[in-house]
Amino acid sequence: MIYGVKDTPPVGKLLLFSLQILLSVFTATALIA
Amino acid sequence: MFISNSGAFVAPVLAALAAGGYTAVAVGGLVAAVVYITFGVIFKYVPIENLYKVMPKVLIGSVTVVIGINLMGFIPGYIGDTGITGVCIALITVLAIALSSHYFKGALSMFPFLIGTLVGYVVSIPFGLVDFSKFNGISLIKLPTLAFTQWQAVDFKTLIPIIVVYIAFTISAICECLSDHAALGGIVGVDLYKEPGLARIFVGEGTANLATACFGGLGACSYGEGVAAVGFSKCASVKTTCTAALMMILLGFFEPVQAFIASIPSCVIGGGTACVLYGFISASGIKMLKQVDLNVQKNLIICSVVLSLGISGVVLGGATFSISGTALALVAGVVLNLILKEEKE
Repeated sequence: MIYGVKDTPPVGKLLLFSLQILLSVFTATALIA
Repeated sequence: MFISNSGAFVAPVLAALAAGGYTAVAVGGLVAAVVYITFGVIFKYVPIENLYKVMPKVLIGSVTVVIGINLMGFIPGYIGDTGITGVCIALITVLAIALSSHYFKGALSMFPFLIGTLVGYVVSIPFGLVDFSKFNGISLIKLPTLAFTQWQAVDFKTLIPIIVVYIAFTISAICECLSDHAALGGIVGVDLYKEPGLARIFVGEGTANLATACFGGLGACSYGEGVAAVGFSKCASVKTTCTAALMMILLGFFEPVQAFIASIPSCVIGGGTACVLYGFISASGIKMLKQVDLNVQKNLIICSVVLSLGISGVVLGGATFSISGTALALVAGVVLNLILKEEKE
């Protein structure tokens, strides 16, 4: 892992990582909804 | 761990809606929360080592493989009726993810799914697969219909069967929660059963169920897709997951962002990224199994049975309660592990 459980990535990367998680879970969420 | 609306709760939610509308759904969410929190309290006092005796590495590894393979069944549905064009765009998305993940250096290598999605989106435009009509007539901010605004008085007698159904389905979802956390723990290299601990994990899942029943109207469970996204980006930061959750909540209020994400063709976001994500989950399970001695008969039997029951689609139960897939495989694996004695060397 580049960033561990308790690490805080820089703001820009944090937002991009978050968007990446969001996209990965979005399909399943939309499918169920 | 990302927790959101779960397919595991679709059947009880539909039953609750039919019996008592969103009030019954909220009661169901409360029941799920109580069951989760009860398990949380139990695991606060039961030493975690007892759970390891019940769920050894061979079981966790096999169940992780099953989780990934079962999710793969959704991929053809994501590609839908887009035919060969959709399949080709899904494969282009996969290729973009693979190349960016393997060859890009530095920060760019950390965002293969964003890059793959962007490439797939752009390639889809000339084929008319991007639905720009999603942007028609949208406003900047719109308050979604919240479940609690639909509550009304319900006869308690109609809720009793709903309560029973929710208890059964929550226990099944707990099995899924355990295996998802085992998979995530293996990927990030932290024993999540110990830190933050099963007690806090279950209380978190219970609270999420209560919140989603009151605001959105569905049940919630941990997401295998989120597990794989963490593994691929190599970012296990809790703050990242919290930000993603906050973004997901805000998404419900901002129509332009909703429209943009809804306009991404399902063959890109589902067919393309899911191919890599779901395979990654199974690959993580195989990685765990590599550390297990499959020459030991007990390990071999547990692995074989878990894979067969988990993937075959066998369903145990009926309309009121049924257990299948990952949950059935996990229960069968636990039982086998308890009744088969260790071999003497």
